[in-house]
Amino acid sequence: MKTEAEQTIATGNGASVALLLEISDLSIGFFRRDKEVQRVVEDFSLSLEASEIFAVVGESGSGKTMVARSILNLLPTGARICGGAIRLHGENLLTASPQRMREIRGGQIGMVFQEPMVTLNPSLTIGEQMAEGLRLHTEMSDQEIKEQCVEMLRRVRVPNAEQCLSRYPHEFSGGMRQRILIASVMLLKPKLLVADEPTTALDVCLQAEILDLMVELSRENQTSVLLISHDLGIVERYARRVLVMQRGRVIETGTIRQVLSSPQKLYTKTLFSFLPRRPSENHQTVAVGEPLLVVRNLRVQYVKRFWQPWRKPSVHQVVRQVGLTVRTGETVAVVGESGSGKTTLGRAILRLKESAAGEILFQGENLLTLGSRRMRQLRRDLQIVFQDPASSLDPRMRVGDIIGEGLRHLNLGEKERRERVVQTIEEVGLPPDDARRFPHELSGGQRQRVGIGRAIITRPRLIVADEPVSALDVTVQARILTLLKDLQRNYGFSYLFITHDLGVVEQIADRVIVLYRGRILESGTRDSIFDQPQHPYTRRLLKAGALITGNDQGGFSVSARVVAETDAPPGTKFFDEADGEEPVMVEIAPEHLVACSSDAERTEGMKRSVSGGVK
Amino acid sequence: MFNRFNQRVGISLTVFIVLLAVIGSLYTPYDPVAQNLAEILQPPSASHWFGTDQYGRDVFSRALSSAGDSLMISVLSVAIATGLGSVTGAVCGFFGNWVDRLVMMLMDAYMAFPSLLLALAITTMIGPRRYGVVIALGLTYLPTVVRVVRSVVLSLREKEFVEASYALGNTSAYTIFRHILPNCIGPVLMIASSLMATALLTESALSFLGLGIPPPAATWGGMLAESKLFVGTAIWLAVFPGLAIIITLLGFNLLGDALRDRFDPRMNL
Repeated sequence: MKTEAEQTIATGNGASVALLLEISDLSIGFFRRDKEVQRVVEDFSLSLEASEIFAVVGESGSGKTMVARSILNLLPTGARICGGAIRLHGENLLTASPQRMREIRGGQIGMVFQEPMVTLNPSLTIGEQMAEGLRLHTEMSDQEIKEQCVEMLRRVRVPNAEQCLSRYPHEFSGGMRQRILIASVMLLKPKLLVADEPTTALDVCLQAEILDLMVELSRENQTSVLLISHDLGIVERYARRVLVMQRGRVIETGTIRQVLSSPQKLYTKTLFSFLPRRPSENHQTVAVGEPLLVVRNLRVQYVKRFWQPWRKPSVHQVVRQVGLTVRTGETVAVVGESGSGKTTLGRAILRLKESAAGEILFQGENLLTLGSRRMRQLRRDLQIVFQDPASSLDPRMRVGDIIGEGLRHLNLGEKERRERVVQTIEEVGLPPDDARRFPHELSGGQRQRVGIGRAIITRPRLIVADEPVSALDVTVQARILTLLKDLQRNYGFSYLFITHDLGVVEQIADRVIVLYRGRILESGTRDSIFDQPQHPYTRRLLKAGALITGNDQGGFSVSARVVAETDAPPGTKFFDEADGEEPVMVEIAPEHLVACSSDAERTEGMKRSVSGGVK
Repeated sequence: MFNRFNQRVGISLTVFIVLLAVIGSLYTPYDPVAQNLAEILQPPSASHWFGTDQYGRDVFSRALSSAGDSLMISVLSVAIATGLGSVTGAVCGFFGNWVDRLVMMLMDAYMAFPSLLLALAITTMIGPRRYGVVIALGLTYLPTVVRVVRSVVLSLREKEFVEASYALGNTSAYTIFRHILPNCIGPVLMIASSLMATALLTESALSFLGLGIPPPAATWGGMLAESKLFVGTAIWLAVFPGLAIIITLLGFNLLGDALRDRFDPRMNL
């Protein structure tokens, strides 16, 4: 078997332009009791050359993951291949014996999955998991295996590679886990790497690092990569050719430049046009009213107490000394990576999480000192839209009841209530019949509409929107953002919009706050943050994201955002956590604040020079 | 399809057993406690459908007349356990403070006793009375329900719809009853139907030890316990009460599933 495999590879490499993988007319359907109930992939064809990076893009449900899994013959139960062929170096994988498939999996085709949190076995050490593949596919001794693993971990820049081997997955962050996963897949030097949304679960800054690493490794080993993604920024950066899928069919395929700049098919055009961008028309800041919410020196901490009375409780600061203002009718976006405390900040403002210190003034009342009765009354003015529409709706309640629940606390008659529910359902763009349905019967986007309906029915003044579109497809995302904007126009809500997606921020925010490890590093109007970012962290964040611009032919171009590398004015020092001192917010331009080192003298110097320079 | 069939069977069996219980309380072919020493240990025949026992009592009449008590004991004791247990478990799981720790410690200590021993102790305190058994069994199964409900609630309370409920201005009590408890129905029904079985059998053990429903009144468990001595010679003494228990449990289990499906909107496809 072994020699046979090697032969196939040898002949494959011999050809001038070697076709590594060839999928022709692949069809996959879902079966229930031998009857096909749904076709998920239809006549899918693709050919992948050796050491090429090829991207497949599409919305969720387009069948891209199905294709990826079918290559390894790892389809979920119920899904079956109904026709076509998948050839790796000319060998049809669909007719290969199970034993042969086991050799190919891992050995010749490696797979990186989306969720680094669940793809590593929590009860095995990293060393054991990495060694597994080598033991199966090679005949190395334990010592050699160990050396290889350590070397590979160093290669993907995991610190303390040697100690790593005896540690467990939960001791690593998501980014580290994804590195480890890539390391263990690449250890076997596969001919093809199938990466199914490998960085979707990670932060923007991390995404770029991990992908760079993956591409580097695959270049070294001449591995081809089949990159499944919905993120055009990523695709443009790494892939040479791209294939667009919709409802199981190939819509368009070609080199990335070609497809982006002059998309031929209507679907491709619409898909691209829904990508979040800064509105081209001059964005007038909404006639901002008086401050609605003023937060001063807010601190939130998690205290872990130990059962031993002599041990000091360990305190973890999640939000440190945050101050912000939201005015009537404006949208303030809070951006940050995961772990920056942005979600906690949103919850703390609504008093869904306890704050340790500070003030939250809502229309002049300090929420933190209010009694629970008054607080419950005020809640009709303070609402929240959650990230995950699946977990934020009670699965046992009907949509109408969910949306109408907030009305319990308003003195409305039965009839008025019902009318308000009907009106709200209409406002969030759901058909009236949906009132009688259950959340699980709705799609992700529709559920998020229900979540929004529940929040707006009491006509609040402030809505905290916690990543309301992160779990949604681009097309749905665009519609939900439009809905939020429309509702704001009609009712004058203020939004505190929490997100990690800079594209969304650019599209919707009036002002932006950059949060890093519980501190505000920079805040200002959208244009000043995006066009004149000051703090190094903000710049790094902006550079990691892609910039999408439209061209004249209805096409688009994606490029890395160019961030002006203006040198910090002489004698200034931006805040750096390593210094171990608390930052001071300095207004370097009107409404544009940057965290600076608390060294008074230096900061003074900066204030003068920068405000002079920028204006 | 199959599911629908199961539901029908469950409902029909339960209705059938309840009907028998009602009939049994009104009419039996023979006096269920009258001894007839001329006809002891008769096998099933046209005059005695289920045969007779060691005192010549008609097994059919006894099984029929005891249906009510057997059902009452299992349903009521499980109702006590699930009712009290769900609320306790929900409150403990939801707040997770010192109350939770205290209650859980008590429940753990409680669970450390074999359930039969515990039931014995409680019945001894209350005395062999009809409702004594019910209370004893109910309290014995309490910790199981508390544990299960608490664990379900622990995961439920992290769901965002709980936070959403607070954000709407609802109180904790309202949130527990409106959002938490309804979402526990599935698991609660599951343990309830399996506890029914255990309740019937534990009751028989208690009867065997003379702490169940006082003789000569019969329960299925009691009859089963008494039949042990005659298994070799008069198998019908064990078979018929055993069948009654099996049919009841099957009915309850299927009904439990049906109810769970009925209450869980995700199952109504």
